[in-house]
Amino acid sequence: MVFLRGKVLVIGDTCVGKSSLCQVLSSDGGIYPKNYSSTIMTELIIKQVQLTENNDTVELFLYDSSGKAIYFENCKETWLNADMIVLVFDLSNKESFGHVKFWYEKAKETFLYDKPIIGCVIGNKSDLSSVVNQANIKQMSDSMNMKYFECSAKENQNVMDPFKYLASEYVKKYNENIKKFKQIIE
Amino acid sequence: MLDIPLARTGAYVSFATSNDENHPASNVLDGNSSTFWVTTGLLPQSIIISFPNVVNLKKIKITIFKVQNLIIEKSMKPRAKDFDIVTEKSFKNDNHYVQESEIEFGHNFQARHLKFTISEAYDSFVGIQHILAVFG
Ligand SMILES: Nc1nc2c(ncn2[C@@H]2O[C@H](COP(=O)(O)OP(=O)(O)OP(=O)(O)O)[C@@H](O)[C@H]2O)c(=O)[nH]1
Ligand SMILES: [Mg+2]
Repeated sequence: MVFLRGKVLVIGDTCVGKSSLCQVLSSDGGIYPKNYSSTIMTELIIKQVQLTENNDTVELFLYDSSGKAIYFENCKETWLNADMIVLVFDLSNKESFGHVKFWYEKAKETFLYDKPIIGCVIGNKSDLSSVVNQANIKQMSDSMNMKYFECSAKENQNVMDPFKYLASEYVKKYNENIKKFKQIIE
Repeated sequence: MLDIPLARTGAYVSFATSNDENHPASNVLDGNSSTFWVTTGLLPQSIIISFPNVVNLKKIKITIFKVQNLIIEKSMKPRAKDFDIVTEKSFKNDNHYVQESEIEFGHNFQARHLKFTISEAYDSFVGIQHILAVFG
């Protein structure tokens, strides 16, 4: 049983639903902001994720970043020392999918040295009809070594799953680090 | 003197930002090479070692994993507050060996508390195996 904390970057184009996902997640489905309110720079949302296996808890520090270009440079400064990334696009907006790789590359620059990236891709707004080809999504997620999730913040559909996944990968990494330290001192 | 575990001199950990009960902060003082303190995520991470009274220190030796930047501060106050920076150290990334560092304090170095802050790291979780001291 461990209690870990990790910094998660939530990034992607403007209006894909990053803030909506974070709000729905942190309120356990209680709050879905009906009106769009553009995120200014970065907003911090803290969410504890309980894992059933071993009773581990991970407190995720979600850095909900604006997708607007004018805030980009300032946002990037808040990305330092991140542990995980969530790349969000809008299933009803092809362009937002096309930009996922861009966000990934930018986030990657802030992961120094050989620190491995734990992350996932979220196709949001699954309640709308998708205009993005499933095979393309798979190919892109695979190329970044990331698991793909589909959800709807609006309908509170599958919102918890990607964050549970991140939390469990983070715990896995923690246990691996401890194992590595033990090997080194042996 | 380096060989005596600090815990046996009355020194103790008075504060730590991470506490996994299987790898507690007190492990850095126990002199046991197979135990260590692990941080449980986010930066910075700090640990404060307190002595029962003001001590004269010649040097300390620290062995760590995956630390990039370490800040060492001291306080002379009975309570652990009003810290002053003593030194800052950078480390190279190493996947196969512990990172070792000896810090010489020079003459007449006194402290009641030492604070070690990991401000930058090469990984999400870092470890401290030992903090050893040579008294003056
Ligand atoms: N249909 C539908 N609309 C959604 C969903 N999630 C968010 N929206 C809407 O999409 C718009 C943008 O949502 P936000 O969460 O503010 O988007 P964002 O990615 O945070 O945008 P920036 O802060 O500008 O980067 C809002 O009008 C939301 O109501 C969803 O799952 N389905
Ligand atoms: Mg937003």
